[in-house]
Amino acid sequence: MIVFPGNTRITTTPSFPVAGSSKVCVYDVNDQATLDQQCQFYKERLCGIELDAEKLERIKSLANIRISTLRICVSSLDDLHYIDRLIQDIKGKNTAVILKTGKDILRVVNYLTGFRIKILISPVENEIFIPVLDELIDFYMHQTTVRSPIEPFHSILQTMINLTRITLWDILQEKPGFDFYITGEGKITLSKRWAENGRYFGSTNQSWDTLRTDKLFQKIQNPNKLFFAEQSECVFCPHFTQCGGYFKIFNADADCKPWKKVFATLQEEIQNVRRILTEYGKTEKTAK
Amino acid sequence: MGKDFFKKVQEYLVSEYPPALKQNIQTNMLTLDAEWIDLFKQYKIRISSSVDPVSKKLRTWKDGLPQLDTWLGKFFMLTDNDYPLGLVFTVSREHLGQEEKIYSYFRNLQSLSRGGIAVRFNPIYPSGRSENAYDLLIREPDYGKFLWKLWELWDRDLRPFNISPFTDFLDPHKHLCEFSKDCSERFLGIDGEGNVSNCGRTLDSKILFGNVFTDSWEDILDNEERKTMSGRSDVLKTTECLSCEFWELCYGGCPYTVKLYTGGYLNKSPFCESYKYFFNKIRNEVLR
Repeated sequence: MIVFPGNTRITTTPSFPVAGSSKVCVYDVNDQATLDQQCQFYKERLCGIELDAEKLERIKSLANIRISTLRICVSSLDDLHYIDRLIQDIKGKNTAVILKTGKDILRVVNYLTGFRIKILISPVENEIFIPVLDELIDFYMHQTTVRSPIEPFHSILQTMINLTRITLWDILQEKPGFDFYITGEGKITLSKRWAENGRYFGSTNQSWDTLRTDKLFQKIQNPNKLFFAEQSECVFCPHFTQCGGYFKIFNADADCKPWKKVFATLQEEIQNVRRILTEYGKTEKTAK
Repeated sequence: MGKDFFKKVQEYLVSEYPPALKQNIQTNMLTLDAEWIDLFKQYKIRISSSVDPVSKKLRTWKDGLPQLDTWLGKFFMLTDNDYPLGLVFTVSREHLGQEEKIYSYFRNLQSLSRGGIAVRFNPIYPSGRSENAYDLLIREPDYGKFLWKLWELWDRDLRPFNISPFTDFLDPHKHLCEFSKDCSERFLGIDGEGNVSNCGRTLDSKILFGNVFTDSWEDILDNEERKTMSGRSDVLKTTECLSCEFWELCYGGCPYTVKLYTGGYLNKSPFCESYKYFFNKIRNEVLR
């Protein structure tokens, strides 16, 4: 049975417990008993629980649960009533809602951000979000009632301002060498997206030393380097510092234009703020 | 230069010129290996290398194939070792209109280096490999337009890495050799055969002041061509550059480039209109 090093974050199901000292996120938590059991088993190692909103119906209370992140998957507007029942417990925690729907998106986002709940939309689910991306980015940038981050916009904006080297890989928990994902069948890969694309490093019955010598695992340790080595068109893209080639890792022809537009919009907003501040500075000087 | 010769030179330099000596090496890196890197590390030598990721014309092997693949492999060897590195990009006519692509490449390349990679942009001049490449020379003021576009992109990104000449223009105490007014008073170029010239560029064209093995230093420094270069700025200030509002930013430019284009030293830079275009843009659109 594999034991990951301490400086890793493993996302797993309750059916594949992770030994060692790594941080652990658990998905597919379906009821209170499983939740309690996972908290008891991992204690301080537990850094996240992911569950579908409808499963909240089987959760009596989250008040005494000590975890750093709660991730709730919301698939429709109706799911909000599950959240509503536990809202007092939820809003006190570091909660992120993973949106699985583009329908009524502004109503859903407006409700959740009002409670300071973080929103996460996955760029992988392009067919869901592309039609509403413009609305959503406009909402995030200009709606004054938004009081919590909408990801990945928020982190990308921060990296643009602070010039940090965080890309979509980090924001979406796909940091090679740090993030690992165990499927329901015990296969190990980087994330759910990688599992859905049939890319694996190995399985839970292997040793860490075997897993880390896996070709795919070795190859993706530094995705940026990979794109440069292949002289991919991504390395000439003005948004590579934000996405790190995230969209084209499986398919060089994947369409990332809608997300390029998002990055460009965020960049433009920064320029607008800079312009306003510069003008304000000049007005102040003149006034003095 | 072989490794044994290099080691001998270094041992001599270390014994004669303890810590204050700083060394930079300009290399195409194509024969770089782990042993060279260890040697460079040992003697704290900074490496600079030219690269052109866009054009395949100038940097090719004898069979015409581009050198970029090999260059990238060597580049990774250095960045994997966290080795400090500077890059040089030579701007030719075929790069015009590709400013964003070129800028993005160098910006994205920063993600592979922990310490940051400074990039110097130089206009192509008719010497060395480009001696007869007249179709690649830039017309006035296209180089200035290229620089301005590059500035806009760099500034939009909040200036995330050092670009020369911009960082030099911004620092009043740091003038690049070509804008320094008195380069011949501050630099000397000496090749492996002992030939002495003004700098690396003039060495390439065999503009020689003498030879350390056959001439005295007095005679070398008293060379007529060197004296003409030394007095160049005094002449220009009262002739071609008289009343130029950007005199203190440029001092007539690189004397060697001027010689290549005009046959003599006592003329202004062949890129005068380009620099004026760029400085005017900065004044009217940045400092307004």
